[in-house]
Amino acid sequence: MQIFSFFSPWKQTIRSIEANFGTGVASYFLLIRWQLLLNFLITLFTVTLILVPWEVGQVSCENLNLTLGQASCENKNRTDFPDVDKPVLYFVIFLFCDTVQGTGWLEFTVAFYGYYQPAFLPWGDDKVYNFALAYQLVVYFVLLFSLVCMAKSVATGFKDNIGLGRSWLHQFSDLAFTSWDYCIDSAKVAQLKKKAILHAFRVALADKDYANEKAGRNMREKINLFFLRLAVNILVMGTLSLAAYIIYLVTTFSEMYRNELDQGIGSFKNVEDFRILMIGFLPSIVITALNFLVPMLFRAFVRFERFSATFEIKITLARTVLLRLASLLVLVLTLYSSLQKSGLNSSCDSDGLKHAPCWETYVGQQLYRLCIFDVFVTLFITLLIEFPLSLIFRRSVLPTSRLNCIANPEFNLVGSTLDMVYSQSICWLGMFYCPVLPIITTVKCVIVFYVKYFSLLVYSCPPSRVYGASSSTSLFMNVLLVSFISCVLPLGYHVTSLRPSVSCGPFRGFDTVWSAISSEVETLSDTLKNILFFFGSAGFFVPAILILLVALYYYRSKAVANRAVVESLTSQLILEAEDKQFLITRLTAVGKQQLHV
Amino acid sequence: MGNKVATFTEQQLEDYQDTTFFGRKEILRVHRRFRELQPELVPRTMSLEATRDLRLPKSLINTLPELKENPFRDRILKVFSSNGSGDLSFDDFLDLLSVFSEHAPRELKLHYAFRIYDMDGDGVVGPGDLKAVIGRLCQHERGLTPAEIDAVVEQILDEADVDCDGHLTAMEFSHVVARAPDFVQTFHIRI
Repeated sequence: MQIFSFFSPWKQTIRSIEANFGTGVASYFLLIRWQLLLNFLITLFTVTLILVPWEVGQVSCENLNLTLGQASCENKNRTDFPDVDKPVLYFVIFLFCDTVQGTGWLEFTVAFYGYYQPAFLPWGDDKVYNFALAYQLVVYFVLLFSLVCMAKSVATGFKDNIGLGRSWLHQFSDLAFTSWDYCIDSAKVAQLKKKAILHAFRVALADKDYANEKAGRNMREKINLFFLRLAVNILVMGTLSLAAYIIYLVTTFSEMYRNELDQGIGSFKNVEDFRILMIGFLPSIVITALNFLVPMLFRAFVRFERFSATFEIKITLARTVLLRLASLLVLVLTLYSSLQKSGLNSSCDSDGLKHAPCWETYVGQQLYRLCIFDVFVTLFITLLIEFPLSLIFRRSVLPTSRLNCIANPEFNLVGSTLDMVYSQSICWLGMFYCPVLPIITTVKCVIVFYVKYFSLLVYSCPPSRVYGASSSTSLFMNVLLVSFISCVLPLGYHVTSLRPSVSCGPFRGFDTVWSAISSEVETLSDTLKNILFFFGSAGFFVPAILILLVALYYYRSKAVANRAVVESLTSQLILEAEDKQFLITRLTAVGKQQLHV
Repeated sequence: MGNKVATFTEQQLEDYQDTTFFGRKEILRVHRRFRELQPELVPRTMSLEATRDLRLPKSLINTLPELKENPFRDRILKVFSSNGSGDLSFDDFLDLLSVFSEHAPRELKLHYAFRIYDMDGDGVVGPGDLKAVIGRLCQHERGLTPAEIDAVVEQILDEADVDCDGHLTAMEFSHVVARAPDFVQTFHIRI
């Protein structure tokens, strides 16, 4: 985080949040700022290396269909604008519908994959800019860059929390000595903070009691509990599979409908058909609704498993994260499989346009809609549900009544952090199909910052649990890393195994997306080619993995040995203290003897 | 530049910059806050004797918004006041804010944190001190019962008292708190 210390907008705002709500909530806003910077840099890369070169270059490029001699269809033309005699209002509504869905005029711009072509853009006097190569290399570089940015934070957090078993080892001391925020300056917040610390002490004591009770369980109770937990886990897996199946059904339904209305989408004739808009958004609506409802089920289930309070929270969090990632992956994989099936029979004959759908653009549109819908839902819930409710209830509700949780809802730190991770995963997943998604995510970060700040200022309460700044940062980074890995996997599968559409995109005519790179490598000099092939062969990978495993084992043994040394030194310290006590009592005894003598 | 009145001499400012973690602007800002507490008493120009001897009573300093809500404010004032009474001169005040600033190193903060939490001033943090600390942190109408407080004190001594002598020395305290990832951020007052 310190690397980007020169980039600090909103400094004063975050300071005032820290003074009024504590460092835990302030750290959430610092994370939004970090995410804003990351997305801004990603946007910079994509705009300067993909969007701008294409827009500028294709104007001056005569040989637009220069591929490796394989046939490729002509690009779809832009749709015609409506007749001039329609009223302006219709025009505005159609434009809005198309913008929000990613169809129509937006579909045939740099925003989506289908617009690009595998051209060699002229650059300078004699160089060419190989666009097919550039497009994928930029995406890989951006993903690598994101990984590097996350790695440092994750590594330091790992060292602090797991290296010495910190979090449970010194729970009470941390609460007593480091939980009070010395920069709190408002009486109401100080009162709430004291209540939160009180609650944390009670939870810690309950955890200790639970640990004692767990040690005292007999065999029969253990078996009962094991089967109970097994049943609940099966129930949870069943719920997740049901959710995945619902998403699969909805996505195939929406895609089927889209095929039937292929003529209608993108033209300006169907604004009366509000249904089309809804069906296009159906996957996004269903995914968002599931992300909201299923965690409630998880919270109800976990009570039956009889874990300690802290572990209950952790396992519910893990299941929620699993749900969100699984929903994204199921969406993308369903689109891959169903669109690939229809795309495989396509060919570029004379009326080839109708039989060669641009499935990558369609995936990009779905992810684009998911992103837009997410922003819309955040704004809607804050401005049109929570804010009016708090206004209505504030005048008539006492602070101690139970309805206070509607009038002054608690700031949901964990939920907001998970939302940020979710929007970043959509960005990474969709960047390949919709290069304009990082721009939208950057704007989304700014919107979310101000919306959450507004909610804090006007009606939210500080959270009732004690959250340290470091625990919310490490939560964010760990979940972000897991999401990153699960977003890279479908992309990897696509790049190496799926056949790109023949009618659109910068990889038309290639066998797979990766073959654009491998064909480029063929043209390099022999020595360079041999070096690169060596890196890709098994002769390099197997020893590399073996070396990594040996290094991992070495460091783990070192950590275990260090822990043993710490324990032996601790027992030595205890012995020394006992010796000291013994010597002091002997000294006083001898001193008394001398006195009497 | 005419009527600008210099608050400190150059020598004083340089000395302050050497001994605290503040720059010029911050030192002048601290003086402005000190003066705002009682403008009649605190002169605009501070001589060397004035910075050392002119003390503001602790009741006045407790009205500072940054210290008003702190449950340990009397301990903080006592630890930093050079005559032990809790009344702060300007030097003490600057010292206090410098230790609590974000530039102060962890070891310095640990040293002062230990002195603050040592409620009875006997050089160690014993069970009585721990009871007082917890009592102040959880002050609420339905606070911890005495049995719960005893259980918490026992747990803390279990975790931190390495040589099992029944109290925490400075070394044990810093060993436990130093690696707490939030300590430097929470032990921080912004001026």
